[in-house]
Amino acid sequence: MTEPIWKLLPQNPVQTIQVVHRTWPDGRSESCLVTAEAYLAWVAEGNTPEPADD
Amino acid sequence: MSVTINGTAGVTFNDASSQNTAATGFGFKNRLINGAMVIDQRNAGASVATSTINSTVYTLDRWAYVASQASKFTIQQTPSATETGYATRIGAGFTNYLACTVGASANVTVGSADFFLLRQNIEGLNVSDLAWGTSSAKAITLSFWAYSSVTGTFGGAIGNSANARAYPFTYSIPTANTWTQISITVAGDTSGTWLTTNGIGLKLSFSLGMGSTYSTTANAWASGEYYSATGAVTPITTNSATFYITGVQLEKGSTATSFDYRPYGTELALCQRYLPAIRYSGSGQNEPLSVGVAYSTTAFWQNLAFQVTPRVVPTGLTVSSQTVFLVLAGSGLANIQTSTLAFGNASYTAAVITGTVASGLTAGQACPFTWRSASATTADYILFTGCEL
Repeated sequence: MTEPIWKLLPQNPVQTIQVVHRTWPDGRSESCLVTAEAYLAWVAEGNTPEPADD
Repeated sequence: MSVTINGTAGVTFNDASSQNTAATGFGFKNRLINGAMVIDQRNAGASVATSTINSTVYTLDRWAYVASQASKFTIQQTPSATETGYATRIGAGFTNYLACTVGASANVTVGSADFFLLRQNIEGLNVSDLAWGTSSAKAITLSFWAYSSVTGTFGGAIGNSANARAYPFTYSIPTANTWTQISITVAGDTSGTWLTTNGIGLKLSFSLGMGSTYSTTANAWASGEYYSATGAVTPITTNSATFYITGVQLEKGSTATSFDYRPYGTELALCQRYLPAIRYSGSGQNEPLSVGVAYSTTAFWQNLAFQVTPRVVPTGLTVSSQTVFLVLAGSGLANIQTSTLAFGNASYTAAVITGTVASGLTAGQACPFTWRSASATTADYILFTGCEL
């Protein structure tokens, strides 16, 4: 199963830290703060998230 | 009831059980959590593919798999009693075990930098009394039941959070497909830095295949990153090889004592400190989760309380599907299926989930949040992530 790319989410009223999300082919959905360890590890591998939708 | 007291054998009871050392305390004797493999919040017994390289794959609660090559093992909680010699395991009191199986054509020759291991990291707060890293360091004893299609001398290790101290150990499985009880005593480490915080206090690793870079002399403390003993058996080199384990206990002292069978609810609560999780029960109802508020016609937020205080504040959310939930809107509590769900923020007591629907909400109105019985199954879950070690 190919690892999907993280995508930034538009900031909502309750958030002070940006959130990213990604959905796997089996329907599983992950979201986390951009400060989360798993996301930071993904970025450290040289990956870049997709921009948020307008 | 009669007992025999003997200077060498200790106390022997009339059911033939014995105790040859003083009790080491009855509160949280086993520092490992889910040692009997009874809790599997993430997978509910489903097989776990190990498709990720160089990062942690969480399997049964508190048990992780880490490997340098992808898709070599499947790992599964196994409650069935079908393996050869299962009566020994059942007789020892273990209805579940953790099964690691090499794929039918997944075998590899282990390179010097390869690693395939099963691990549980113990929180520092739960081993602080061992006084490791000081002259008062206490011995520990690791005990477990193991079973493999491969025979020989297997390896594993105890290590610290910085991967700077390690005690590789060995144990023997002399007969294939036979449950074997193992006991290993480790002298406390008087050197190194061993965390006593909510970080990793102690790493326990069982090798499924380990390169020379991460292997060294058994039964002695070493400085460096080691997860096994030199020359240990490598199940990964054999197609369809199996390695099963259960009844894993790590306790203070130099003697293995009887397994610390904790109540299921206690074990589940211990696991939820590292993985706050909610599953649909399969009742056929729109099971309630929380009550939140809409902040537009298509967006809402919900505040879900944790049942157990997590180790750290969660930083993420994983849901099995974004569309197996409802928000109930308006005076008629119209059922509106969710379109998206995402992590908002969290504290030690609760997490905010934000979400969207196609339409039908009114900003400022309360909106209950439930499972959608028409599509949710017992395979569906909400997991709050970032708390595991």
